[in-house]
Amino acid sequence: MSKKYSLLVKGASGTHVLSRITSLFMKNQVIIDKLDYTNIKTDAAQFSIQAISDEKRMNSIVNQINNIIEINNVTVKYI
Amino acid sequence: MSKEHNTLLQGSEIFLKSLMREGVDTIFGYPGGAIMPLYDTLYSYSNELNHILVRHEQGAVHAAQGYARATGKVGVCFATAGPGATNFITGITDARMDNTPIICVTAQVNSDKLGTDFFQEADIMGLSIPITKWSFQITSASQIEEVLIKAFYIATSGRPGPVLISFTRNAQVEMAKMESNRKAVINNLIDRDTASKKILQGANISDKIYQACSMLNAAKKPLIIAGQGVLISHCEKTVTEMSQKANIPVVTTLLGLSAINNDFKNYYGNVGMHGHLAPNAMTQEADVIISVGMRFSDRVIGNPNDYAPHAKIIQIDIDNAQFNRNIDVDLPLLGDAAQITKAMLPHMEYKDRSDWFNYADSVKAHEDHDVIPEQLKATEDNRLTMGAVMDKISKTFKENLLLVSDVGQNQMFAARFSKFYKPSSWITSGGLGTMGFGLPAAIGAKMGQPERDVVAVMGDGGFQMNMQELGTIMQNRIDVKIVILNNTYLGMVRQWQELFFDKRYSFTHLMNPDFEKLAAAYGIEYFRATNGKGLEEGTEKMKASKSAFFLEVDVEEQENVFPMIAPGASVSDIMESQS
Repeated sequence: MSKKYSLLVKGASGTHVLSRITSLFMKNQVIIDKLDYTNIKTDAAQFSIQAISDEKRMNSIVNQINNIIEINNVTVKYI
Repeated sequence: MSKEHNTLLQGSEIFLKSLMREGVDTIFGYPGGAIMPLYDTLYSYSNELNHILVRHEQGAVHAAQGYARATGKVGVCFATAGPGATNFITGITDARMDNTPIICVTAQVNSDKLGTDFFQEADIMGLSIPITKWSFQITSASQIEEVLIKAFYIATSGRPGPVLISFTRNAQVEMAKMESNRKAVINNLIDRDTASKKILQGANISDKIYQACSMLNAAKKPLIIAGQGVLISHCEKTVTEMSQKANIPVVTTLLGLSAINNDFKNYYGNVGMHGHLAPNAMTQEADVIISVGMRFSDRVIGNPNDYAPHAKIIQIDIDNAQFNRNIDVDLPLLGDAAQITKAMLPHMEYKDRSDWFNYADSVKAHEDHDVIPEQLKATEDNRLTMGAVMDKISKTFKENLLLVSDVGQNQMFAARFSKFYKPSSWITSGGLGTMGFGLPAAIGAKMGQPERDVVAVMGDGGFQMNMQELGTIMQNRIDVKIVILNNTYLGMVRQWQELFFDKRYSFTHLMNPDFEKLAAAYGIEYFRATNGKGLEEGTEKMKASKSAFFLEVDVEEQENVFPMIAPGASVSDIMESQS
């Protein structure tokens, strides 16, 4: 069953990091509902993402985001 | 402190020195406009770095893959900007699917020209992000050292994979100092590596390891499936010991082939769409399956709703993203296969499983006596079968064979009829199924393992996708044995057209060139076999040859690969033969 999820992703800044995260949503055919990118310091950024998906696919995306070397932390919650 | 610390060096020199610091001694590449400064510096390092000039950039990536898979080291390839870079795409994707650590270096236009559609500018970062483990665009010489340290760490850590470095022309010629502290950079990476941190935690999951052992010890019909991860983490011996100690049959996946010595008494062959009968039958009967370094791909599981219906599944994988992806797993064990299997071994207990082994033996005996002989027998009009050729190749080269296949029927017959006695004796394109992979990958494998007998087996279709690499073989005198199974068809596509598209053979018949003249044009010794006697003579000549050899074998045109699990069908519905 599809639900709306909110992801808070913390990691290095840079458009290539943003691209790598969004490419995972594209590959999994999950449409991003809302995306907020914030530089929190020189080399660190926070990506706030909302998307609708089923739990299995969202878990898979979260695990794949965790594999990105520039990512430090991902928290996900159902909203 | 090294001399370089206080010396200004050109970016391209820093780049090459950084590669050498990581242990690189072989590069596969093709020069062009934007990468000329790097190649100019490479000219001065030709004693330290062996550059193999390929004939197409795709060949460079596949050669780097073959080198990496044969040696366990990182393969490195160079290409220029624009078309050179985009020609890397297929090979990079292949390396991503098959967990191959390679560093792909593509030149890029000057950083102040990025985004202007400058001559030969391609957005290789945008193109490569979905297919690489990591990619980075170097826009300044001061970035080079640290980026390369990172690149090698990322390519080899966790689940290995390809890294792309886009190297702008200005960064190649700028001056900078070599002053990075490699250890500090790597420690910083380890600190930030969330996936690795989880794996470290995973290595301490003693309760889960104990649970896995208890499940296996109690099982009446357990099965070990060894995947490519066994080869990557070098736990072939441990997995064999586990099978021996606990008396559990072991099988492999297509990419896990050669992880287990084929003469090992508990080994039964490989699972999957064209796998052996016993491994697939055991999968459907097993009560506990433990997979080591395999991802339960669609080619292994068939219909996921009917895969291993009686089994609890324990999955060992280094990549958290692989759990519960295609099938539900009862006990995921996150971590390095070598660490986990080593931790499991002391807790594994012997149990008599005569009934289970008798079942496996009976299925194997059926295949050995009723299926395989038919597949080895020449046809009524005395045409050779692909199985007979592969059986002959395997028996000719024995333990020293390092077999590289292309994709299609040749690949499946090679997997089915070859025997492997030591690890990393088999290289193929599994996940992406890239036709044209075989010849350049064999070049890379031979460069990495010059003492092995490297045989590239291909169909006439796949060979022609990258046959320009015969020039690479000629120029560099690379002793690769080339076997073309010539059926004048795109055999696997033709087979599917026969079985699933009402025999509508849409564009699968090939009119081929004269391969003898082609081999002669490249100065490669040639032999054509059209029957059993010719095959005998050809393989002996090939084995005796001290240089590259081209063996063309005319095989039955419309042979099909069986057994076969139709796409999406249950593993239980495996078809043994055409009828």
